[in-house]
Amino acid sequence: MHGVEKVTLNFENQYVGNEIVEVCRQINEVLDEILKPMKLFPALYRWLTNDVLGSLDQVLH
Amino acid sequence: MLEGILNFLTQSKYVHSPYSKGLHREIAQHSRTQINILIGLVEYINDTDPRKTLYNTVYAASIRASIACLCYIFNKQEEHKTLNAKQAKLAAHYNLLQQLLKQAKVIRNTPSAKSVSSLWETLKSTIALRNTYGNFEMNQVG
Repeated sequence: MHGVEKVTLNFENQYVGNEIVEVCRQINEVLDEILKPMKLFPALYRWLTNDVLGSLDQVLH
Repeated sequence: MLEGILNFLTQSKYVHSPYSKGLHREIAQHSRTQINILIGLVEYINDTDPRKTLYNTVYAASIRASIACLCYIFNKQEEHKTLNAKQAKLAAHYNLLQQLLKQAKVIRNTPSAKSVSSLWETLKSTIALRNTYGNFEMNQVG
């Protein structure tokens, strides 16, 4: 492709790469905690509307 | 684009008070996507196998923009003492992540030259990274 240079990337010290991944995983744990409570709403919707046929799932997926 | 996001997110109503539930969720979802892409990128760079491959296109500049935005917002919130417990935890993690990305030295090998720069700088100088035949191809900004 025109104007694209092929580059190989490597860490000088692999240890720092593992550290970055570890911090990322800790961030994901907190983000999961933030996002988790919202998953209760589909269940609440089904219970309130007696949505036994799973129409909400069809909309969501 | 970054300026637009910053202007939107740093309006006083978001800096001085906790985010609305909807906005908070949207930011969390976006952040998780960016973090997962960063994990894939770092694992790829960390891999010493010469046949290593990465199947996703990685828009590196958006990872950097996302981290820089969040650090800026969390620092502003810290100044105004509006961080809740989870945001305080995230603020500490994101500041550490930014620091690590600045410290991490990446060796860039091209057919013509070899150079070393921080991963933070590498994320700035690229708009897209993608894999072809086991190597990274970088679309340079300038």
